[in-house]
Amino acid sequence: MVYNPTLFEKAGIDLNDLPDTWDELIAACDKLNAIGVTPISGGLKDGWFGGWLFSILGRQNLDSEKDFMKASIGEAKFTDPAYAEWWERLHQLKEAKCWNADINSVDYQQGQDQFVQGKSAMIFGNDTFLKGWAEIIGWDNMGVMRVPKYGSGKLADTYVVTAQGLGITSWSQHKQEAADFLMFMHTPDRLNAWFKYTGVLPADDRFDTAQIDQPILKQIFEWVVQSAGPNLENFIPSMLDEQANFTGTQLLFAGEKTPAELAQLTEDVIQKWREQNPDQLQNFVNWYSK
Amino acid sequence: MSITAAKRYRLIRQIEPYLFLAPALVVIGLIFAFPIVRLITLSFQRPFQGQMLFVGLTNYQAIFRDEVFLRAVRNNLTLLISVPIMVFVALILAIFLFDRIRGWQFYRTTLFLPYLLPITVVGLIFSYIFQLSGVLNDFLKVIGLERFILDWLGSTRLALPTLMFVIVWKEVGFGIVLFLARLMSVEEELFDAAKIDGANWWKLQWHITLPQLATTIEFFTIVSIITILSWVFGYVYVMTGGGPGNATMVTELFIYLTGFRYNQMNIASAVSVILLLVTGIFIFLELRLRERSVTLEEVS
Repeated sequence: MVYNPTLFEKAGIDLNDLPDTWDELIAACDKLNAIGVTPISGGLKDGWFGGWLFSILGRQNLDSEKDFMKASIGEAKFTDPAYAEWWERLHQLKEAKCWNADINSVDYQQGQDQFVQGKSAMIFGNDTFLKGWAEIIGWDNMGVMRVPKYGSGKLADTYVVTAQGLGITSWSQHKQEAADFLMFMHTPDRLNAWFKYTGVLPADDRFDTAQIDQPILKQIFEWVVQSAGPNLENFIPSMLDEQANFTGTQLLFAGEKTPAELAQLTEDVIQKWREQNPDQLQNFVNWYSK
Repeated sequence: MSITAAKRYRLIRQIEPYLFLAPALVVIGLIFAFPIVRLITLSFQRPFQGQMLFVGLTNYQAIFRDEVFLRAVRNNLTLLISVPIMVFVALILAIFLFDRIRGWQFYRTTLFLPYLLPITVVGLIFSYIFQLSGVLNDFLKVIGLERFILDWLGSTRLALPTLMFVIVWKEVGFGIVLFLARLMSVEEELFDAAKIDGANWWKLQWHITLPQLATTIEFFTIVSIITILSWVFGYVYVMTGGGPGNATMVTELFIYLTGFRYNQMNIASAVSVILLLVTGIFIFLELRLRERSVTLEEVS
């Protein structure tokens, strides 16, 4: 999570004792609301942020991305407490007025912009945006903290890596050349050039940290190296992401569905996906078995 | 000329028109017929282990059990409410413009302008207007009407009516121009005669304007129905993305998501076939109407 240190201090939140449990996060929301600042901002209109929330919050009771594949292929249920709790936790944040009131009517980018404009104190951001925000508000006006915990699964301690992966298809006629190109992109020269020109940390733990001069980025790279975890959206069917996570978070913030109903919605969507996609299901089963 | 040469000449004369038609038929076949046949074929198949298998009506059965699809159909039907609204508003405005109210030329251009704007531009502008923290609510706050501040796009109850308002705002200009063009071609003697006979404004509209506009109203109604059923993707995609919570999901967006995000091209094809059939009925009606209108003009 990215936070605004000035607003935190103004609200009386100790920068040396940042919220790291769910209760502490809700207490921080109360303090920020008391000074008239939106605690966390986001935008759900275009849906994507709902997927992020699932990936960031939905992981905390589980140990591996395979747990989500397991529920996708029907060997566990998304209504099981370990899978369903994140809806309740998100609902708690909503009830505690932790979020911007217009979350359902603005898109993802506009939600993030509210942080940059100083209207909100925290966002669920990722490191790819930091350089751009720093150019507007300066590095001094940003701090980073791990997502407060409510669960005790192994994934609760992981840092979500949003790096996009490149793969080589089994039917490629030039597998070796493709592999050589990927290796080339990960040579020290290329990693340094990537960071120099984009300001974004390369997804490679061999990257020379001497290149990083910002403490925030150093901290993030340390988290990536020590506790990188998967982006769970890559391990569930896209129908589930869209029809359960995107739609469900919108319904939760519209006050239309309870956390239990949303867990059931998720299970209904995955059952529909299994029924409509025997081929994709078989791919998932094979993937899960490996 | 020998008999054989005459026969050959007759044969060439018989084939000749088809040769001229052939390039156009090939192009039409490639652009329309092939995709439609392919679409219908795909709708009866499903991929399995790298092959397409014939599955009969399975895809059609699946979509009629799909809550999101049924919601999309319901939303399309709800949006049809905008058709009589568009017809009524376009009719009233066209009549006022035809009466040459003060500044009518300015109003004519202004009212047609929204129709010329790209849907993405209109969608983006209205997205900013209707956000909870958007221009409309700011304005309501400034004039002291806080109690009317609502989450126009973020509420499951209001998102569809808000979308409907934008569609009417943009599409009504086409109706105005259609009606106005028809009214301008009506012989003025009809109105003059009625006025001499003592007809008031209402009677003029009821007995002359409406009957003269009848076929144009029918045409605009059918075109608007087709628009609502199969031409609102742009509005929905830009303004709401089908949300919140599928509150503004429409069949076109459902097809797009199913085909390109969930990679279920066969189910998307089945929905497309249904949409094509329903729209086809209205296109057929529109063509019949145009034929009738041409016949009426010829008779008169």
